[in-house]
Amino acid sequence: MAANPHYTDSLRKLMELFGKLPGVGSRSAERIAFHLLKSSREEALALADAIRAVKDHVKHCSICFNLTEHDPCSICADAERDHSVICVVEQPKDLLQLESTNIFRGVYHVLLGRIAPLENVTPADLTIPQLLERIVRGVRKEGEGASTPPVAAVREIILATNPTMEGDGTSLFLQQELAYVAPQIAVTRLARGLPAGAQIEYSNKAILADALNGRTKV
Amino acid sequence: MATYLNDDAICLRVHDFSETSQVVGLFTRAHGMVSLIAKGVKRESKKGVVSGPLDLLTSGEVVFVPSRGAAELGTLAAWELADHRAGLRKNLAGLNAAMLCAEVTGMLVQAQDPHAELYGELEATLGLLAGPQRARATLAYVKAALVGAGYAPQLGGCLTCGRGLSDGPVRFSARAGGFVCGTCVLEGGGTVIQVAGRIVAALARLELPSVLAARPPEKAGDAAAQALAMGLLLAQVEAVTDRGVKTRYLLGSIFGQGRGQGMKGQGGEVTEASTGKAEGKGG
Ligand SMILES: [Zn+2]
Ligand SMILES: [Zn+2]
Repeated sequence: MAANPHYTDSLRKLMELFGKLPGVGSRSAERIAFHLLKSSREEALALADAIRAVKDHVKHCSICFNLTEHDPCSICADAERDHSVICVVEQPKDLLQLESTNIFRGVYHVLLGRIAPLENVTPADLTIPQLLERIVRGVRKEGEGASTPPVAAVREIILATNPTMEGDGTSLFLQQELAYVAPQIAVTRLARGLPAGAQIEYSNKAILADALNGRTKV
Repeated sequence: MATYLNDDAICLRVHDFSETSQVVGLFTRAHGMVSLIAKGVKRESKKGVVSGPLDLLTSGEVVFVPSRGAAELGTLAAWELADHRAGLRKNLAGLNAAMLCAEVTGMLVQAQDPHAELYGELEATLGLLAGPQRARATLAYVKAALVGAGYAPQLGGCLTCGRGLSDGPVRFSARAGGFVCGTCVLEGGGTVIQVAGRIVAALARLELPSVLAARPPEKAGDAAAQALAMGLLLAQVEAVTDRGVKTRYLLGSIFGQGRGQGMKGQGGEVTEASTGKAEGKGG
């Protein structure tokens, strides 16, 4: 749908920008733009300030590459957490999802993607070199100004990449590299198979095969 | 009313299109390459029609509405996953080999150009890649893909004098599409790869993946020679498509030469086998 030709340039520009956001169509973009136009100056500019603050202050943690405003991030800086267990995820979103379970008390490493040979994404394009370095050194990088104490050597790496072909490939590559640089470390992977609440009768046979192969002792 | 087509397919390309949709590139048995939009497949609650998001290298049965033109997207109506490649998910070298086969297929097969035989060969190859025949099957498939696309290199003898090749060194020119013997002059220029004649002869004898699959597995063979032969085939693929093979850097892993896809070999570094066009990233 083309924007109404009677809109002013700045209004059209705003709609165009909203329309580029994920899940926002031209109709919604129009609605949001008019909502902002109607709302108070403070209210509207608070949104602009929030966008600027995010872009200015949010960066990647220098240890785990999670998104943070303070380096190291609150998880890496938390002495109560178990720094000898590192859970490796593809994206900050995955970290947040795992954190929301309140089960995991270790720390993370965010790869910022997955190896995708067909799209020219190689291990060196991700934070894999930093992960291996982190494991091999077994120490925290020095924070700005003050040096943080070395952490305990890593005992376990949990591979929590997505169970897609590329996620699995990334996990296989990490297994290969870890066996090479740190063979003493336990490497585990998230369980896969039938989700709770699923019915065998209606399950895809490939998923069922995974569940059978990955069966656990009770 | 929309026409629905039903076919077997292997997924060779997946891109996220939106929060809930994907664009997929499928190599179908009867309809060649098709690009489809798969709406709503990433939504958790979607039941029945599509068995979850489509994943690279998996095969299944597809129902789709074809696009009107080759440049447009068709619409995926249903996908029933048949093989999610459990073996490849546990075997890095096999998975890397499958990625290479997928890329080469995408480079050589055009949209809406059916290649039913090659489809069968890719299915057979994907079934072999997690096993001991990985290197041979990869080589056999890339050769089959070149033959199927009509770009087979001349492996029978010298391009200039026609004589059979000796076991000694011969020169391969991807631009010329074949070899010249030790005494002849290679016309036309382009990248020239020197290789032992016995490697070319072995490549000429190599059978189709489906034939390999039907027989009990043979011994793995000489990995270094297989990697060199693959270098020749990939140079040919690059010459006829005028594009670099992105998965070239995986050759070390596929042909079992050390840790292969290690940190040092990243970023399009030329491997031992790829003495041809040295394509960097983004090539
Ligand atoms: Zn951190
Ligand atoms: Zn000759």
